[in-house]
Amino acid sequence: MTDTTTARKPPTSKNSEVHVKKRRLPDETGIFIVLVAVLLVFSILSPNFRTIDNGFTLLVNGTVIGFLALGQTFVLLTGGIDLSTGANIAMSGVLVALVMQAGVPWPAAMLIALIAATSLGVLNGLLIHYVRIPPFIATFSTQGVALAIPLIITGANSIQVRDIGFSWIGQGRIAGVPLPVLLLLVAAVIAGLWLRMTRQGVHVYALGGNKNAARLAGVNIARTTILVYAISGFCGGMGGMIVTSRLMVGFPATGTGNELFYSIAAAVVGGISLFGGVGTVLGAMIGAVLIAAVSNGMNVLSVQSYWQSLVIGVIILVGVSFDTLRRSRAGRPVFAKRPAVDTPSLPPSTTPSKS
Amino acid sequence: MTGEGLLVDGISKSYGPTNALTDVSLAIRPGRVTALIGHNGAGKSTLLRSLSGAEVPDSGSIRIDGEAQSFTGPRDASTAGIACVYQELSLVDQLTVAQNIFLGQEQVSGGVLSRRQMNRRADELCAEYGITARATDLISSLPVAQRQMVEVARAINQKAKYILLDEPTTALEEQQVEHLLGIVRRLVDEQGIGVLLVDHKLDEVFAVADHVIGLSGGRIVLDGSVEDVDRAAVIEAIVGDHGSGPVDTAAVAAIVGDGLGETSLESVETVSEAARAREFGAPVLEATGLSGNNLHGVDLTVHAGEILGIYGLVGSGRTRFLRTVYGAFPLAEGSLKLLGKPFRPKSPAQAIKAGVAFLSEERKFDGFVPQMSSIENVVLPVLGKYIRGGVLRWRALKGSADDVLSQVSIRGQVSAPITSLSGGNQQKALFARATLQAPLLLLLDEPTKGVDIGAKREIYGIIRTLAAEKNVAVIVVSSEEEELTELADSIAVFRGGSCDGVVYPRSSVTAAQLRELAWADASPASAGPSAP
Repeated sequence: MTDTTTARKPPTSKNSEVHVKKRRLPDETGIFIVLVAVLLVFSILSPNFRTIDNGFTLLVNGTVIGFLALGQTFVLLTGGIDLSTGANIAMSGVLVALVMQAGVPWPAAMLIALIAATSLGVLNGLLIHYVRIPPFIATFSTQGVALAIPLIITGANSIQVRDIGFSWIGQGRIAGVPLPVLLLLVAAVIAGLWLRMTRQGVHVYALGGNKNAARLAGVNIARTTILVYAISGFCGGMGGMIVTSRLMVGFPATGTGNELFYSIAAAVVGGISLFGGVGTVLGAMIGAVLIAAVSNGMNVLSVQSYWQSLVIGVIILVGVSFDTLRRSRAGRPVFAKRPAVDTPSLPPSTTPSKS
Repeated sequence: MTGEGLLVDGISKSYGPTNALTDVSLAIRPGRVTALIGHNGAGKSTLLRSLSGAEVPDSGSIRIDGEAQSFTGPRDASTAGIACVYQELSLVDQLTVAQNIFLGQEQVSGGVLSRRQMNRRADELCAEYGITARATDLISSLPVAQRQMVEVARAINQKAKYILLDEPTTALEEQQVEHLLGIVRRLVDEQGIGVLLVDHKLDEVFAVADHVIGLSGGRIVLDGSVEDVDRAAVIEAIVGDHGSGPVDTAAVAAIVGDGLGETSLESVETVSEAARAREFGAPVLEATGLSGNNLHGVDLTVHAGEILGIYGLVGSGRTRFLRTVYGAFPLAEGSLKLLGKPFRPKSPAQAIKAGVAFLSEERKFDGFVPQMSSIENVVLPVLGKYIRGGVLRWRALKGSADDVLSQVSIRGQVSAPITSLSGGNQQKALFARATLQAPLLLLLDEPTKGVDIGAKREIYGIIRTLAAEKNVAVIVVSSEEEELTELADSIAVFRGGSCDGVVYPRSSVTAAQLRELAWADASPASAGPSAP
């Protein structure tokens, strides 16, 4: 966000001594080009891939990853990580089915399940901020808890959903576009605007960029931390709603697979820094589509499913390597080869005159 | 240039269009202390990094005792016998003194660490170089001065022939400085080590060095034996006409220091609260008996439009006091009043709301958010004032940020990440932030630390403007006596976590007297003069 909002603006007359300023491309350009390339390659390799139907299948399958990646984006921007979102799919997905089974109408059941999912996120935030458990450990533990709860309650049996209305969430269409895709689109647009246009949104970036400085600048660290994990929990819950609605079964073993893995991959290849403070929702969403496309394309090409994890693992590695190298170029050595530099070694286009 | 020593011949280094070093030649001789001075941005760090292998010069050569060297990394330099002790120490906090001293060169017998042997050797080194810690103490339990000595001990243990010290005395108190310089002298005299000492303080340079090298704008502007140059020549050389504008006498004084002449605390005048209230506006902040967090009773009042300096040794509670007022530390005992009303901030956010602004001493650690642009950093504390319908008014925010940033005449691009600015400009950007907050009370912790002389002068101007025109009450904490006698209207002294509220007008107190006051007995009864 920092780049996209400010880079477009011409330098102010009084402050700039650098008149020649290259128009910088948005940071998402790179990943977008990669996405287009991947889509092209699959389209050429398989005629089935380039059908509109498959396009929708790809997107619908991508929405669960997309929602998780959206939540993960908030958490990663503060420099944290949420390993519990995949488990949250199972927890909320089974919960919504159970509540409907008890006779509650589906909108109310959804509300209850989403509140539960968000609560799991709030719990993460509380553990991380007040008990000072590192995010990795805190969410790793709650992941275990969230995975076990539906299994214990259901005895590992799946719960049928009889309320036909609920199928609309995962299977409905508006103007031909699948509803989950629309839901994700709306959520992503709101999230993107919120991060850019609200005070709390800016505070998310500030917290991830430098927690100490953010606190001294008046950022409420507790509120911001709890909020981002709550958002991630809510997004996990949305994932659970979509999964259960598409299957019309609350399946206690969902979310134990690749969802978490893919969602982190999506955010990271989309330019969200694992070190906090850098990245945009747009980037993460492009990343989610990319991951979904790779996954879908390999299915269409009938590549053994075991290969998918491998390919996506490599994608994560490449994405994180870029991020790490970018950081070290920006004067904050990650491979700690040299001490911090007082002369900025930024690309020439942004190097200011030294005073 | 031939012969013994670390000889640098015509090295140059540039970063993009900026020439950090231009054709620099110098010699570091064994058994001598060579001092390197120059203001920030003069190229000292680049030179140091080139010598220690952290940076590869674009051209030129480095020879050690006649042998040509080409370093591709710090390891090469240390193999060649060069050790560099940077300001940011490279010790591992979680390891012991001995483990750090032997880090990377552990002694092993039969595949097993000879722990006892290493500890014994480390204890010997500690005893020899006045490190009071034991070999088995964790680095994290040691004070900064001791850590620095551990790093020097490591260099000696690794048989370094040339030791480069990067401003080793900045974080130290006076006694520790003497101790350190004493050890440097011993290393040189007894072990024949060649030392390159980067130092800002001429007193120290003239006390310990044999040879002085001045660097300005990446070029050598002075190279001579200490017997042949005097202070005036040194200042002339490093401040000279390389900068722009006239030489700022205050800034020069800050470098030179006026010698510790004859002082007598009996002649120190104090100024009464009533007199200050008459001269300035109403009291803005009144602290009474502030305690807790290593504070042991701080009484202090500052008025609208007044610049109150706080002097004291490192660790005397100055920073603690500022941070307590800012809500970053909890207030345990005592009371604070802001504009006469009780004030008890629980967080910086509350303090900001109440009209308090704060500039941290460590701007990289907790001053700014590095990924954000200068504009975003400037507006961060005031976002709440620019909201319409829950949405930030970025246009108005940027307008305001541009205004305050141009008031402090930032050089550099304000929409690029703030880390692209030089240290002085980063600090000015943080002053722009404080200005935008329109505070009642501005708390400054070492406001000119790590900025060059030109920026220092500008920052003094900004502070004076805020006090005089905006009627802001300013508290400035500084370790530089001259900064306070130049900038502050009145000066209070902290000792051992307490302050008696006695305030000295800047016109009557000298730098030497301030130092003496800071060392005086902490109990108020024997602190000497009382308010007339």
